[in-house]
Amino acid sequence: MGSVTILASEATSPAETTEKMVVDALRRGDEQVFRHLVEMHHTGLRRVAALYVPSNVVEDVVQETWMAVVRGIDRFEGRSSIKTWIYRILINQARKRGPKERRAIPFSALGPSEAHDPAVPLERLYHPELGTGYWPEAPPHWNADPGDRAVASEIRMVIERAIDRLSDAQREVITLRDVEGWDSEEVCDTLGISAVNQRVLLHRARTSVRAALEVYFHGS
Amino acid sequence: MAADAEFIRNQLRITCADALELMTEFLDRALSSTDQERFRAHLEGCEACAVYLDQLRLTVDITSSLHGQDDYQVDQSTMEQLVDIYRSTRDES
Repeated sequence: MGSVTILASEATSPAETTEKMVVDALRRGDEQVFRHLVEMHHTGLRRVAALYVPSNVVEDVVQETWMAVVRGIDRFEGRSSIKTWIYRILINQARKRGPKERRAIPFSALGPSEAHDPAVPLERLYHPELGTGYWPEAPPHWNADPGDRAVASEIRMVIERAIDRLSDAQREVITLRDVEGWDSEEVCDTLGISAVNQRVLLHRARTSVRAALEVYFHGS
Repeated sequence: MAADAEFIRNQLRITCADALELMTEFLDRALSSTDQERFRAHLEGCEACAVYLDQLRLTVDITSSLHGQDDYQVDQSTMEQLVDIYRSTRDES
């Protein structure tokens, strides 16, 4: 396969230019660029793999992903970002290995199968004068001392446990958006879900996690 | 009393239940301008929803700091293995 020369003027944005330069360099055998790519993504790939496979399988799945990446780089067409492409490979690999029942598509592409749960149970939203749908009073403030490291580490554990208890689809989306810091377009692109679906799942996930923190601070 | 309630409900534009359901869209800056206007008007008059939104933001902030704990870096031998594989595929093509 011949090498492809990419003219900078063909790119429509700085980000696209950078992407093309990276792909070009990877095809040329630029080890520095490859090392940088691995450093950039390896940890994130491990965390995402852990959504699908047990921890003793994570490293294998990530290695297999990198192998598929180096073998597939010549065929990569650049229709998605490199990152999206790498993570799609990872998720495919992880699903083939996962202990969870085999699925043909990511959890979240199945759509919000859970019954609709409002952010706050409707019983809490009854104001004596305004009626149904209104807070009777503000939820209690959270007094968290940001300096207290023991509390900070407890709070993180509460959040981790809350994320573990979410539905698979909600956990997938909140992990990519909030834990990994992806934007919604990247998440939708990688998981193959609509923006609306993604937002509904994220909303439910975040409000559930917030509810867990409320219990931690104030009891249920 | 009922007239006051009517007045307040009008000021709040939408119910708290509706405002709650708009919060993630709001944080994503994805609200339509109509919803944006209603949501802002509601928050101005509703301390409860303002507190809830702050707590939601804090939840997101802490969630995003979870992965700051990972000191994991690719270990040398893993990296060298991957570079070897990379090198050999480049030699093939």
